[in-house]
Amino acid sequence: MGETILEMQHIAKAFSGVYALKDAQLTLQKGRVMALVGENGAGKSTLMRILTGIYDHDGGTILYKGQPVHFKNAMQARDAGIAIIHQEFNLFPNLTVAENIFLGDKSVQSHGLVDWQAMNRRAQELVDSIGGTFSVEEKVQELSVQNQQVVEIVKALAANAEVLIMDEPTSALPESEVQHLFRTIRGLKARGVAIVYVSHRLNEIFEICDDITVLRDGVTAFLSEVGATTQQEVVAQMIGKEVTVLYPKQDAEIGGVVFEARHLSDGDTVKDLSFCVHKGEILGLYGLVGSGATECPEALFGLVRGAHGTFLMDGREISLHSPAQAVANRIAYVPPDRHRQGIIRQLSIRFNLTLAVVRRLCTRSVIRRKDEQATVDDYIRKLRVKCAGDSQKVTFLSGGNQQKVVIAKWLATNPALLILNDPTRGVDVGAKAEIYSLISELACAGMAIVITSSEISEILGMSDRILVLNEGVVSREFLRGQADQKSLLSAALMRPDETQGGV
Amino acid sequence: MVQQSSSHAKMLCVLKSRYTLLIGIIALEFLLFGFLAPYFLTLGNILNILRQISEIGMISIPLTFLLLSGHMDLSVGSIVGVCGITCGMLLRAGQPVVLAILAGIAAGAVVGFINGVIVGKLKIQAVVVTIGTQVMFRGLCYIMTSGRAVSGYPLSFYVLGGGDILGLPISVLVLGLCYVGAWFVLERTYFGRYILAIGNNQNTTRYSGIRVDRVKILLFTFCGIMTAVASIFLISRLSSAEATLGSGYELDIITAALIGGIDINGGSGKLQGTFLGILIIGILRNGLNLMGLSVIYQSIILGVLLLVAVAKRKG
Repeated sequence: MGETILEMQHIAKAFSGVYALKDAQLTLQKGRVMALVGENGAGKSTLMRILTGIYDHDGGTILYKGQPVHFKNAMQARDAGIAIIHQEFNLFPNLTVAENIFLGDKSVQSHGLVDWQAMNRRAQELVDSIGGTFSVEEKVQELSVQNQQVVEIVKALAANAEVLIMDEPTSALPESEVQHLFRTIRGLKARGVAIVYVSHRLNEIFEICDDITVLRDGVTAFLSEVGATTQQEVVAQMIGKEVTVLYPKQDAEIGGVVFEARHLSDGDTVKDLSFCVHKGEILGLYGLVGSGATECPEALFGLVRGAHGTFLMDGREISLHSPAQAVANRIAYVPPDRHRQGIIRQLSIRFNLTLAVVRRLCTRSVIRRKDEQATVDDYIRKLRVKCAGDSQKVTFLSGGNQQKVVIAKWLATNPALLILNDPTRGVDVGAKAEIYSLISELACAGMAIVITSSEISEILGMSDRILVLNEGVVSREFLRGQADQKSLLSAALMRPDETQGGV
Repeated sequence: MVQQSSSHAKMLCVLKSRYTLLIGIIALEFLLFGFLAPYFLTLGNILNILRQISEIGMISIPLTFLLLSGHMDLSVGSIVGVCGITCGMLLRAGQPVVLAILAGIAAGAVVGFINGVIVGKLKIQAVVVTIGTQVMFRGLCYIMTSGRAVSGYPLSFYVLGGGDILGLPISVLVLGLCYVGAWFVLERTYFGRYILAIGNNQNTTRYSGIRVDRVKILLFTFCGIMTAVASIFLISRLSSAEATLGSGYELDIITAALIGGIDINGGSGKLQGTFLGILIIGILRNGLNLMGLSVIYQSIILGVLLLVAVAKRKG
């Protein structure tokens, strides 16, 4: 252990004159997990693409097992033992696990035909060896996401990978399955595999990684053993300046009830949920996958057919059967899946930003272009959206700025209730901090806000009040400062009838 | 709406190259037929071409809207039949011209609405739905006419298809007005935004509080109405309505739109492109007719043109 297997030194790469990497360094050792972190655009993916042979580098050297190497394509890198597992899995859902693992592998063939028995046996051995508990004769589409990830890992092992790159490996996993992945990673370490762990999630990095490399603007800005640094320091190194408060939650004046939901049910996950949100209050909803925490906002916004309940806005009863009705009742919803639900990436910032409000900017159906421009300028400035101009296509913005456009779209509708469903997913640290302070400002200005998140710390850091959901009902309520990660998680894991329950 | 400043130059460049190509094709057609076909380059024939394209031109507007929103209407040819025959039968029965026209338009609105409700509310793919209604509406045409041509209209009705104002055919003037109006709707109204939004990302559009199904129903109903208007000009010009009235129109129009650069997957393209596409097809058909080339050969040439234009888009 501890033997250096790969060294990337002074790697530089430019795309049509713009540097993506200037002086990047990465050293991997057998049996150790290296975290690779950096803001979006820092050069992480470019560096990984160079390592896996997809891009050619312009400068610097790569030493692999002591020899200088220069991979010309992805095939060469893979044959040399460097494998990558992408966020989106690269599996054939309608083939079996074993078929996926040995696809195109000549070693399981005899006389040009596949030796099914040998293939299944070897596949099962590999799956068992890293603690998989499923049969390799199952079709991949029948496996859970976490087991599909195991298949990806086994695929890499079958190809004798000695360096394994995992790109945001937990982003697709429910929180409860993260530990399962970590066990697998520890197993890989014991085999001497060197792992690159690319992630935004610092908590996980501090739990599973041995070393950390921070990339900033194409340069390796910071190198350390994980045990010798802190999350604060890593964040500071990522954005290049010291951040004192990651969650800049200010105390807002909390007023009367703005919105109330009684007996909300979506006919599936959400069973019987009653709660209210006050003026100026940030209400956090927390729960594990399947608890209803992420489903509840969908139902409130009229997205779930068959959802029912009684809803009051400013004391007046309203119905919420469609997003259009929700918007008409001054409810705004920032959805979790930005690309499918939040933005239209092929269209301009202006188009996206005014989509929900454009009808109100019309006289006799004709858009008042001056008013539209004023709205767009206003929100680009207020939210500090970094862009080349409002006609720039949203696809060219960073994740954080795309998310700002989505939030701006909703603020333009002047909502009374803002629902944020995992608002910082896939957003880099710098933009995260900006989004948090924006949310806090909005609450101070009297908006009622509901927030859900896949990160416990976000809920803890931002909420005035937290409702913990379990099996579709509220299992516990915490006020700000009453809860910590442990109490929140244990409340989320406990069955509702074991706690005092209720609102 | 997507253009300005930085991306403006790039967009212009792309548009330029496509429009240059389209106008180049039109110029080439003029050159070729000018030499090969007698009478092609006469004022009378040019007006004739415009009159011939005016009907498919009118239908190409709502069809472009539908294509931009990621949808398709393959039933427009049959809708031409249903509406034209409805109007023609009322005329033959001696009903007032205005009433007959309104009835034809109402028939278009109804069948368009039916398409729209099936697509919007039952959420079945537009291509599938309109293949079904295409066959259905065509069947209706045969039942209505019992296979015999409907003709014998009052003289005043022929003004629509044959009359001029200041030397320009009425149908051509109407087409021009429709195009200007449609351009305005697409570029300057919220409804134009909704069309593009749905064509690019229907899900996000719904998540933005827009009633996507209503927009779809409206688009299909509008398509029925415009198709009905076109059918009335058509029977006035042909002075009869047969059961096969308008059959095959949908393919000419969709071909024109694709040649004009409308993305078959929705979300991008310009109305101007469709218009140029319509011109190209109209001139081609007219010129080949004058040369005495059979319709069968015409379709081969059209097909080649389409493939070249779409290949150009990819390139």
